[in-house]
Amino acid sequence: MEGPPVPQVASADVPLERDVFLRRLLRELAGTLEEVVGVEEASGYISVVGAAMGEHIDAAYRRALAVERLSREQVAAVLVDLKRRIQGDFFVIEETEDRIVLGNRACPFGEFVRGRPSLCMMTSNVFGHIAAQNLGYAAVWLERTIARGDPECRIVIHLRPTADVAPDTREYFRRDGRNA
Amino acid sequence: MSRRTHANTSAAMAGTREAGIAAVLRALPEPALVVEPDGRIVLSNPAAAARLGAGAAPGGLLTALCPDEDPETGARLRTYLDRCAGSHAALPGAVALRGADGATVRFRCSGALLEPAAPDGSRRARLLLRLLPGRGDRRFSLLARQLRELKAEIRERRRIQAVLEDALREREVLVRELHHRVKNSLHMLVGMLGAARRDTASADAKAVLAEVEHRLSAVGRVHQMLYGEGSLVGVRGDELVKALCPAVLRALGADPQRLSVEAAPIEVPNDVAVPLALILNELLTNALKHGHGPGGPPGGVRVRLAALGGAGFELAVEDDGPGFDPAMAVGRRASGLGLVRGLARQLGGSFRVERGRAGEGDAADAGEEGGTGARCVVRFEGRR
Repeated sequence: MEGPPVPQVASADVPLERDVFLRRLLRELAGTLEEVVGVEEASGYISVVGAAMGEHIDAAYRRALAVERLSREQVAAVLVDLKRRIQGDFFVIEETEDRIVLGNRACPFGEFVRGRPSLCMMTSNVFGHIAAQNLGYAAVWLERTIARGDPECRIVIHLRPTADVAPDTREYFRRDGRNA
Repeated sequence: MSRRTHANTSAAMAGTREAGIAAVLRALPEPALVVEPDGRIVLSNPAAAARLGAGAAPGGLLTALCPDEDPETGARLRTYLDRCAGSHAALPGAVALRGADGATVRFRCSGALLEPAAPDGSRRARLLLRLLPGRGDRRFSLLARQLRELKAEIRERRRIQAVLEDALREREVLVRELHHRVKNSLHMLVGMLGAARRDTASADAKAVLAEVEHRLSAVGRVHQMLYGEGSLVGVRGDELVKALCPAVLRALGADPQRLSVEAAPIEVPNDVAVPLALILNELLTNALKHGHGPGGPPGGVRVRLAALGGAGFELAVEDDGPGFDPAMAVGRRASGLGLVRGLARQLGGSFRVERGRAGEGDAADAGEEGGTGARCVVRFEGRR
């Protein structure tokens, strides 16, 4: 007698593939860190990783573009492009000698970023490192973030030191790189 | 302002700033150093000197304190310091260094840019590096171990709880089964006594057998209630009274209209429930049989179960009969009252017979014809 069809495991409708798995893994990892050591210290750990990621990405673009340092226009373009490559949707709102303002409609971490503000340190450090290494100085202010519940991100990158910045702005400086 | 004066002023400001940083370092309880990104030590505090020895003195290289057995340690430390030079925000890290006693110590550390490098390259960046005491790590591992032990204990307690809950469920089933079997056995005995009563020609034997039948039925009623859905440790007094009274009425063929019952919903423990059922059986039987004057119509009978203060309760059975003196009772009535008295004493209670409502007022009016009524009261203190 034939029974009801047995679902095949391999073709079961399970929302799991490598990208989703890795994003969820990062979400859970960040959540665990935030719970265990607090958001501030968790942000520190993410910053260490973000600084390393910034180094790799900056080096890769400079090598690909065959330049010693990126210009301001190139920095803005690189910041948008690197996010595009990892499925972010960043765009330039404003670009002047003093600052670059970026908007973002889609986080590369997707929905997994919601409630995980420490993950934004990845963006802050990657942007800050690339801008500071190429232009000498950067102060990154995450004015609005999807992670904190905003519908879109808005990121202000000051390119010159100024006293008129938000308290949670993080400053980045050019490193001489003689150790690396 | 001349160039020389400006240079002097700048040097004085730098000296003041450096003195301030040195003062802050001294105030820190953990080892702390001001270093350049390549690990050159600019300043160090007394805690660093105590922990790391002479190698932590200004002018030395922090990377020289990295253990020789792992050449990668120094490279990792330089990379970490370089990253710290990129931001004022402190970055967490870890570093292994040789202590003052020569042993390798692993520190958690926190490094942040203190002063960026001079744009003209005349001065390298300076970092503040705090070495978080190893005690913190040890404490963390102790806490982690305690957490593991607590989790293991919770698991064990949950396992024991599950076993106990199983055992309790099994016990409840067994106890209910036991009450069920006792009730069935009593029912069988009642049947056998009924058959014997019908077979005997002796009126006295019939009466004695009937009494025993009724008593066993009363006890069986309690066991029937105990194997039901309720508590295994007791029965509801009001339910017991309301179940038993109609059974006694039926057994005696008495008119149900004669009886009124008022019972409070009190919990009666197991060890009291069976004697209480027997007492009620005796008193109610007595009241129904004798609760009327000679030749008169059967009078009313009132049963009342009420809670007393201090976890006690009282059972009262009152009739409209002529009343009686328990000391003067004879025959089976006397034996029934003796049973009541004995059961009450066994449970630490009291038994008394007083005039009923029918006898209240002028005693002279309560002649043999009119009756005075009898009120039998059993009282238990602290048995709920």
